[in-house]
Amino acid sequence: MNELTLLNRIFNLSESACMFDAKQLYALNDITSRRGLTLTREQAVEVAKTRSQALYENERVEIGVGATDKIIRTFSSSSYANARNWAEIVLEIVERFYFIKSEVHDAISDNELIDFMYHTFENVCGGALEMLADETEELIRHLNAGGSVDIEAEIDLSLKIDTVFLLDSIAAPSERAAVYNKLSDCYFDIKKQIGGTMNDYAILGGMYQEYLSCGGTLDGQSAERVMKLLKGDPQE
Amino acid sequence: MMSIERIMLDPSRIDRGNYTLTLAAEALRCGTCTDEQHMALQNDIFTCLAGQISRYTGGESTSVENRTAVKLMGSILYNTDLALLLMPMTRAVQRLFAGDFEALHAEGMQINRQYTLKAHARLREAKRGRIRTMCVYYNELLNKTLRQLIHSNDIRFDAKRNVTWVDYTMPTVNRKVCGIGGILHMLDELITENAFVNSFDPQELSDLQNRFVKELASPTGERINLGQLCFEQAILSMLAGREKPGILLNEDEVRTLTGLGLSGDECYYAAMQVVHRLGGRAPEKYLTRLLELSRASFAAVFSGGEAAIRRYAGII
Repeated sequence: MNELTLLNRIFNLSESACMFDAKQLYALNDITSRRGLTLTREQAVEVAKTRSQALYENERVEIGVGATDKIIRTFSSSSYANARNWAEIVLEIVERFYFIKSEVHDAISDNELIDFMYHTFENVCGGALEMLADETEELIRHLNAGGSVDIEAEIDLSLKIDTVFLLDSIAAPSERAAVYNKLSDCYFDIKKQIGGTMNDYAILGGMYQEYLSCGGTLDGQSAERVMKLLKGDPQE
Repeated sequence: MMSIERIMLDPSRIDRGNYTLTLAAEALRCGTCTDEQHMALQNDIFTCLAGQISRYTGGESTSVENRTAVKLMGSILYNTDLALLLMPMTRAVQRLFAGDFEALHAEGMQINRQYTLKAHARLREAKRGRIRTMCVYYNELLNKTLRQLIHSNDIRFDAKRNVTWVDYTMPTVNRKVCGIGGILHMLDELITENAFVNSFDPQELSDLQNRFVKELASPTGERINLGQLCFEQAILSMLAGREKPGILLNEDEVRTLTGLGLSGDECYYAAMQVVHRLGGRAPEKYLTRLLELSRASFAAVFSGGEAAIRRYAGII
């Protein structure tokens, strides 16, 4: 036996290993049940098996259920999670998590990735798991191109955009991600040109005025017009 | 667990290059430990691996890619091998199943650290006693490669450097280095070779190297080991009648050797009779190894007549 054969015990999707992991995940109900979210024993086993399968397919090794534990604890705070969809959310997030970790070759830490996925799920995608897949593909491309992710800044901006625009009131759930991306692209265009001289809320306030005057939308020239507005130039 | 007196391990089933796992497997096979104890040991190893993963990722990830896990696991087991190899086998078995695998691993890392410091000291000693040579591979090994190997020995995360190859051929280690143990072995052999080669007349050594300048000085030339070269020349000089072994054969000696009409095996057995006269220049174990390796060379040379002997001596 050498280290490879020994590690095969972990690589192996053995029933007993999954049952042990399932027990640990089931125990997290003590915490998540406060929000009405629980996994049945069968669902806990399914999550454990999905985790094992995801590790195997993405050629990763993990001792214990560390990351899955963090995922469950974090996503139990989601306003879009309920008793009916809780298992589905956990399964999808766990599978996606290990996929991303391998695709970006560990360029992002566990906590940063879980925070990013939570923030995107909660504030960008409005709880839509299908949209989360697109957003995380974008993250993979960004990180593999050498980019980095400042999670706190991302969260901060999304909260500010939501505060000013009240995204739930201006976009249907299926359009929320697209509207958010358009607004944040416009924000970054303006920010790049205007530099650090202007407060974020001032920029977003200007964008909101432009949004209203364009009948509830932003076009390709909106950033220019907002810049003129913010600089005090008379509008045409 | 069985008492020490009743432990009957079969040493032939235990691999010193994979000591921890083969010792555990042998202990299970001969009933020295139970299935539960063996499983508990494996779980201890996995717990140790989990800790290493956390340290390796700086606490930022609980999972790693497969190849990283293999590297970390290899490193853990290499360090525990170092600790266990220093104990008698029966004591090693007891220690392995004592339930303090983390402490054993820590001891192994400490030993690894000591060996690394020893390697630095041995390298300095090897450089002080180096052979003055134009051999490209020898100089590269001493000037650059060994230092890089020692520095790259990561005690915690990559203690087992799997099969690193060096360009200079050496009798025992050949060209393969694995872990700090392999590096120390190579350094010991290098120091022995330095002392052996430098024990001959410096002028003869210089002239001998000039005869083989094309092979020694070219990176695309034949890989010659200086110790082996001097050994074979010294043996032939004694077979040709010299009382005191030398390493530069002359025309008369070539003719004498041709006249002996020895076959390769006869030459080898004749060499066995005279090799003791090289004692004092190198340990017996080293000389025995060189003698074994020269068997094929002698067979090739003596089957080729005077021309082959002449070429072998470097006399064109």
